[in-house]
Amino acid sequence: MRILNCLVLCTVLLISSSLLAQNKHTISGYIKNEMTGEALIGARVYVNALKVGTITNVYGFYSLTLPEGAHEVLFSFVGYEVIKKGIELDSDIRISINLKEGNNLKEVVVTGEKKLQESTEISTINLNMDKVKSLPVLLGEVDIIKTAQLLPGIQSGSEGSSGIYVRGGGPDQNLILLDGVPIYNANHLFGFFSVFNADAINSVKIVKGGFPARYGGRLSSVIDIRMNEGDMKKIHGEGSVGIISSKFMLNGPIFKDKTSFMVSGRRTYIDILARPFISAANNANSESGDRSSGGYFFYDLNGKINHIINDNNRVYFSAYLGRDRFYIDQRYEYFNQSDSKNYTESANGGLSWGNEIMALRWNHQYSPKLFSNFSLNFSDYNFNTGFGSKVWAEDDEDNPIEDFSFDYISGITDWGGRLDFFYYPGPNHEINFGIGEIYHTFRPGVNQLKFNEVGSSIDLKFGSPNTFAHEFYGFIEDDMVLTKRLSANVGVHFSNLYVRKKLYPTIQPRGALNFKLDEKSSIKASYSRMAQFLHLLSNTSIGLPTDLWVPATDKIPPQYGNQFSVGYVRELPKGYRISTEGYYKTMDNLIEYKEGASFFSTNTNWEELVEVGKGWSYGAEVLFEKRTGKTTGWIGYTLSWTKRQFENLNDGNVYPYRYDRRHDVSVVVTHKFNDKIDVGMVWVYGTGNAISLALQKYNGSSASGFSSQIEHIESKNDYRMAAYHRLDLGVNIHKEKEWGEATWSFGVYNAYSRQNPFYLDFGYLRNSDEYVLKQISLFPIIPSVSYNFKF
Amino acid sequence: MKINSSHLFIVAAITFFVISCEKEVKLKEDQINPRIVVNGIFEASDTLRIHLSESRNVLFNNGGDLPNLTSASASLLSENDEVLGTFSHDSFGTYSLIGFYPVAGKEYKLIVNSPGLEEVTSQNLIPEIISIASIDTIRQSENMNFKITINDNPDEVNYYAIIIESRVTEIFPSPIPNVNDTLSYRFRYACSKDVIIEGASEDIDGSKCGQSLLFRDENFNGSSYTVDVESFIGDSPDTVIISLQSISEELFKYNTSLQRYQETNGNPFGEPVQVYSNIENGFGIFAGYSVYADTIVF
Repeated sequence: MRILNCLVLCTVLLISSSLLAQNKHTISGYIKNEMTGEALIGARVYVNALKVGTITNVYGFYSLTLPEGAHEVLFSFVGYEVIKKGIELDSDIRISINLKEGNNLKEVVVTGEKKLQESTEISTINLNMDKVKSLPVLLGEVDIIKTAQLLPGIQSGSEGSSGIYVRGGGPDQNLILLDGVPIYNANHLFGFFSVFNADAINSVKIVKGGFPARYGGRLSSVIDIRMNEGDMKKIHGEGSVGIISSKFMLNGPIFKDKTSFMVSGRRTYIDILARPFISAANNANSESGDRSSGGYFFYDLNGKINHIINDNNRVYFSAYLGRDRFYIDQRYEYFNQSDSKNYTESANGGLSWGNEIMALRWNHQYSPKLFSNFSLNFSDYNFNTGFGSKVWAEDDEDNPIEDFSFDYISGITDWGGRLDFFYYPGPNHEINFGIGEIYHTFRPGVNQLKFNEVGSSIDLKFGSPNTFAHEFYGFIEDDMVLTKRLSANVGVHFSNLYVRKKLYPTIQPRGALNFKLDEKSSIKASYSRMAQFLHLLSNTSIGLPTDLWVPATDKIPPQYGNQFSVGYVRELPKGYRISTEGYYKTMDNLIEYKEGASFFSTNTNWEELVEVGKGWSYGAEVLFEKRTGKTTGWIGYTLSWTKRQFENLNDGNVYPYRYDRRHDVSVVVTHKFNDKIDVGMVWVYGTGNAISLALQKYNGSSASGFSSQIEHIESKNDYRMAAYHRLDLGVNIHKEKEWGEATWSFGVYNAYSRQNPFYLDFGYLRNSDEYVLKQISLFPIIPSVSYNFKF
Repeated sequence: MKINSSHLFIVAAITFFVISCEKEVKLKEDQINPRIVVNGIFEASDTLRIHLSESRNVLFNNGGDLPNLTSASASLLSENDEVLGTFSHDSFGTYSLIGFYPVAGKEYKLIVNSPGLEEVTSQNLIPEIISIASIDTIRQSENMNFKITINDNPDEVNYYAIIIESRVTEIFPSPIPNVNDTLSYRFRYACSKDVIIEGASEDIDGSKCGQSLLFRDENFNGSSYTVDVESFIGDSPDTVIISLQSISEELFKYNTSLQRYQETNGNPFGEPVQVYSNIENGFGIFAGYSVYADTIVF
């Protein structure tokens, strides 16, 4: 009887659900920019009468299941004109929409995006690329990472550095993705600029906490950067000529509405500018036989091809190549009287580092509710530094009498694949799930020493051996509407590292809740557990490429983190919005170099050079924004503490992290006078970095009786450098041309020429014989000008 | 090549860009007040000697000597705070306690006062002596290889230092008949590839070298262990003394951190080293050791 009842009940349920299913249909498609055909990420699809909606995914695809019948559907995106479309829904239909860029910002912002108080996203920022390009910056070089550093919870390290420190985490704890592929060193010019050419970028999403399950592999943040796909309709280009670099971006159709391309490049020309002076100096020294050459440059190349096979299939190929190179070469010629021969001695040195990435992706739509992305990717970061010398007689350089070279080589290579599914079963659920695998090859540092002389030679290789590891992961998350007020994103990320016959499986639960208090405000909360199988060994605070990427191994465990955050967001009248958030984060198995260790430590494997410890950070962030009108901008403030503890460092006592920044303030304002002129202002303030500084010295001795002076550090990182603050101003003057638009950008970096601390050192000031503690500052007031064009 | 005004502008721009601005940073008074420095590494059953001096801020007398304390008062107490004796000043900041010989296995306290400086205190337990069970040697020209076996005490955590000291007397012929000039010297330097050695950094061949080789019993607590050591002893040494010091944890931390400090000092890529100190309110080290020594006579 019971079994019969159960069967009847199940049948009724099945029939009911079947009936219900029969009464619902799905609209799906792509939302794109009408002019360029570029996919719009995060565009909104909303049915006001039913109060249901969705947003497009990272490929511009959406899917929304509605009851059968007539509906008015709103399609919108920030900065674009809204399209309202009436539909009669009696079956699944495909609706792809092209949105036109709009001028009435006030109107479109109200409906243009999923409101923050409705979204389960917490600790997430979507950077507006137009805002990024309008802000005044160092030497006129627009930089998305520098813009990100103006937001609460995200800070820079040293002056000019583009390494980022998010909620007390280190620079290795940020997953920087370019079209889904990790980039390991995002720094040019020793950290002053990032590798991202803003002209090639479509969107930037930064997640500081409440990580959705689809992300994994780093503890502190995800910076998800998507490149432009290329205009499907006509050729467009952009470029700029600046003080130290120029860049160019060209995109357009290969086959109209079918295949598009995007290529961009950027190069500095400090080395070219310096060449005439080096030549002049060599000519002046021609009698002494001395000749020198040297220089520094970096370049970036981005490329993408986007091909629509049919309505359900499209493929993309994207690639990035970038390199920095610093070199110096000196030659000296002399005549040796003893054997009456001319000799040449040369000495050279240099640094070189760079990234190469490639990604091949295939989007497939199985049904109106199911969409997938399959991608294969490759990422390589390598660093090489070396110096050498050679001596040869007459012009016989190929047969030197003496030849010495030393090279230090390190890097990391990844081969990976990933399969993501986006499933939209109904308006109250959006399910993402997928799996992936990365094969890592770590090259933590190899020294190569070669010496050849008549009668003897050395060819020695020593250092850390390569390490190979497999990282396998899977995830599932559901972004769901539970009630009219309550929505949640719940999921789990599973990952497993296999390295040197050791397995590190981890389960990482994720959850974020959003509770709407009213139409204008909500409270949010989240918890994330994160695992990171990589470490970055940093020897200095500047983003020097000497930082080594090393894996978790059988001796060094992975990093694990837990983060709790709660927040409140409120829309205010006239385009204002305020959001506040508090967080608490723990980090386990952090690594630091042991005292006295150096990446140049000769024969020692890196695992013998590190200590393992823990850290934690907590704080509160406030962001007050004005998003509409002629004057827009924000004020951000962060109050935070960040600490570390290692058993064998600082005698096991807790100490502040170097980037423990108690107060961090940014004020960003842009004002558009008219279509021709807009101005921008940025003011930043941050508590000084915490460093280890010896302030006292004393006589030491050992059992042998040998005495030496010891400089004493009381406690690790117990000295605070002076606070950092700076004002930048900029003005953009636009002019319409027959062929497009030209913009002159004038800017002043550090307008009141504040001497901000770059580093401290003991020594003598110029023209003084007094031994003092000196603060070295890097950038005084620096004007910049650049010419930008768009066609 | 003729230099024109545009080149000058570019030079000025590049110069403006690359030249950094410097300014002085004043140190706060409480960061740089002088403190008493105690250097007192002493052997059980030997006369207790300590050296007292003053610290100075790092800007003081760049490269010059630091002042010795010549009128300080220093007292030695037992672990029960019984005064065992008062040090007397010998010369140049060296103080000694005549007539008292510290004993292994006992804890001693030190209190030092000097006018105008904050009082400092310290205490240390002298470990019991640990014998060398055996030494096997192989002579290789001017070098000698030692296999030193010790039987560790299972009841406590032990810290050790091995020191190989060669004493050489060289005779130089003199123009005066039947008279020779002699030069006697001793040197301490040893190397080991054993992974348990701490403090010193590895050379290219994996050796760790220094005047003393420091290690602890973490990997062989309570059992027998043989350390492989190599030392340069010269062509014709008189004697070689192999010493096994049983040192306190404080002395171990001090010596290992001091070794790391000396190797790193001046290296811009080296991580800063905090030299350990067990002097409360001051700097330096007050620690004892006991020693077992074997001598090889040539």
